Amino acid sequence: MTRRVVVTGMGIITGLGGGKAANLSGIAEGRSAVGRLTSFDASGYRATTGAEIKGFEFDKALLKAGARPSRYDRATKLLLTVAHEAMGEAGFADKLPINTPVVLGTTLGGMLSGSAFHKEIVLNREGAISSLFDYIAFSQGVHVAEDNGALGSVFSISNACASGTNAIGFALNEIRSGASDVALAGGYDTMCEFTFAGFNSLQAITTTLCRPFDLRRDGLVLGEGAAVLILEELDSAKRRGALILAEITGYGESSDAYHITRPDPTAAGASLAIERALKDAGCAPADIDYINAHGTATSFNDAMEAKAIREVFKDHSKTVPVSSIKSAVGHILGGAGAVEAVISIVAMNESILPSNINYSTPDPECPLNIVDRPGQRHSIRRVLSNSFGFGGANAALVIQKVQNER
Amino acid sequence: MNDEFVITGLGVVSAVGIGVASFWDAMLKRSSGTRPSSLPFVRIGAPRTAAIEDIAPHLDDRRFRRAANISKYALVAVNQAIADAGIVPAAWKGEEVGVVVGVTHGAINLTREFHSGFVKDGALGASPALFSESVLNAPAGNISIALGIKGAAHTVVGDSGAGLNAVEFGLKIMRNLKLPVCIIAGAEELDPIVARVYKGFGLLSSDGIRPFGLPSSGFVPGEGAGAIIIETRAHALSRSARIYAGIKALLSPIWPASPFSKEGLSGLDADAFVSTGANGTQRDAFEAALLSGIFSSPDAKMKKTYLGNIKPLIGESFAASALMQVVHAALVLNKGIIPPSTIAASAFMPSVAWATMNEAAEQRPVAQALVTSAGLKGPAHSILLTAPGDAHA
Repeated sequence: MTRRVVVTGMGIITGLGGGKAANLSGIAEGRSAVGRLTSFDASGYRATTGAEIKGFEFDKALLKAGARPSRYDRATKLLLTVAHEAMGEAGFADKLPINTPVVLGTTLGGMLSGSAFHKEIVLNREGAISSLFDYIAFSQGVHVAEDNGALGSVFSISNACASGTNAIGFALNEIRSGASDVALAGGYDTMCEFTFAGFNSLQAITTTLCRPFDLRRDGLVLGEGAAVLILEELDSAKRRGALILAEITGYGESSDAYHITRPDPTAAGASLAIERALKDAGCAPADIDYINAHGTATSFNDAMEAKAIREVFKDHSKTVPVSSIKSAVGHILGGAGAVEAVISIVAMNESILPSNINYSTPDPECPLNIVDRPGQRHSIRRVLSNSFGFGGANAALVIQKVQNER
Repeated sequence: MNDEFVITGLGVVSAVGIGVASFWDAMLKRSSGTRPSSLPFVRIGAPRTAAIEDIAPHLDDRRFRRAANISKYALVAVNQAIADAGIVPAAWKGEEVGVVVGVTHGAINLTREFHSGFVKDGALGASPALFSESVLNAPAGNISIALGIKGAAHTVVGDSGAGLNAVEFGLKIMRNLKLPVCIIAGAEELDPIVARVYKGFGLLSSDGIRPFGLPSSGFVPGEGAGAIIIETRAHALSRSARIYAGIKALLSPIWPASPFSKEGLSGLDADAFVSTGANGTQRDAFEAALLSGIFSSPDAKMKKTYLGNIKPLIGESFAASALMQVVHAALVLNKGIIPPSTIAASAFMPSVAWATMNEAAEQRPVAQALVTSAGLKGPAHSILLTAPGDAHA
């Protein structure tokens, strides 16, 4: 019999703020965290906006004794912050069970540190190598594991923008397989000029507004953030008397094998990932009450995703509410899937549909029931959360509401 | 694992040769691929490197001619492994195949070049082609595109342990997604800035790598890729594939601070072959302690537990090295030959004194091979392989 896996703790930080409450209220009210970038000078780029986390103050007490905060990348600080929130909610205080696997998704890891070093080198300066202690994109996961007593496996998955969803899906299966009863899973990425310059060079960043699925959409807006979920085997959670926030019932993935940056316009890969997630969850398309879309607001991605939803959901695609929160929190790349999973769960538990802000003009290529107004109440029992990324990475989760089983 | 999975194909791109045959020949002859460095490396204090001379002639698919070296190395190694396994990608169901690539620094040359562009010339200097090929999952993406792999494509990041981390990840997705075939690769490319950073950390060797050496030597930076084809045993047998080795066990990752447990190692015989990831840094002491915990019984010396290490020959290429270690161990099991040890000639840590370090190649079938890698931080990883006879059993 398959072991059931539930969520017993969540932590989140985005441009809307730190913590679930700030993010839920931001999403419910239809607020946007997007503004003019301040973490670097973007004035020379065709686009100049992003969803940065403003005023983030790291609690040094989250570091192990004697650690020097200056040697930790911002990504690690965001991660440790959300891990602390998630662990606290799950009732693990400062320590996870010793064999807890830590599974994290990221595209950049400590690229902020790395990028600062690269820039120094380009400018023929020495560059402080001490800034590179936390550069490699698995160092952050090692810190989270070590600092929280989780001495199991550490997996740093870098499948571009699908990474966070892949991480949750992998952790789900770790618990199902019996490898552990508890797993810490999530994703993270920071606002970094390296990425901004890259997406800008691909002309993928909007110069106006991020409008997922809108006819006038002209690109994404980058964001930064992190989210962590504590996943736990159902009986283990019950034994501990933990508050159960949701159940992860399905995960699917696939690869386009098509192009390094463009999604397959046939949507075959994305459809396969969604179908696999639904099959894994043992539910039909009609059982899904809300789709948290990848919805980057690029022309190609949204058309492809809408096609995948129509292919899989058939007639239900006309009625099931769909939204992307990227117009509010930006595209958090490797962190997107985890942030969106957390938002989906808090929205589901509050019966609020996250809105697809800035949407006004329907696109015939995306004939979906887009959630175009904030604050809409809706009974949600199951959510499908999609993530797609460079390299043709596709991933989808099915998350189910759970009656409080404390 | 219970021999559920087997290795049926191998591929190597290394400084001692491109292809498994030249790699194995170098192991038998103890030929080193480390050479005096090119000027950019000499300037930053890395007098020796283990570099790939020219990968271009080995990559036929022109779609990837502008890809980063790390992608090219991975593609070439994977193509070798597929050919070796006797698999024709055009005939497979792409949805049933996965790929996992372990990387450490990724396409660092393109990352640096991309930075150079936008730092010097602003937005107009940022090249979209460089950016898209610099992302960490570009090698896995390129492999999936080249071979039509649609089941799953993953990139696992880590240091020297990333290669074994990728094997563990691959086995788990095979089981979770019910994939009969998965390609696992590890790849890394040389870059003077990375070498400079390790030089700054005091980790580079000026002459060569002395695994478990006293004093520590540091490492010679290397590059390349290793690749293996893993199939479920049933799938491999159904197509009468040659089996290099079975995968008997994945050990739980072992952290320096955690209590060591032999759980998962039951049934490991002392007359085993060990391909270690020790790289001449102080971290070797951790790997030595780990191995000592497993083998330091009277049995080990009596029954001969052979300790092998490829890094003095191919350099430290992080995620790539670990996959090459797996290839190394699989070849030892398959051929029943133990290449001369690269550890024997120098002073080594007393904690590995239980090991046999043979001066010359020995024809000696071994039933099991342990592959270990402790990396530079985080936990050590290890997998236990069995001889092909056992894999068929």
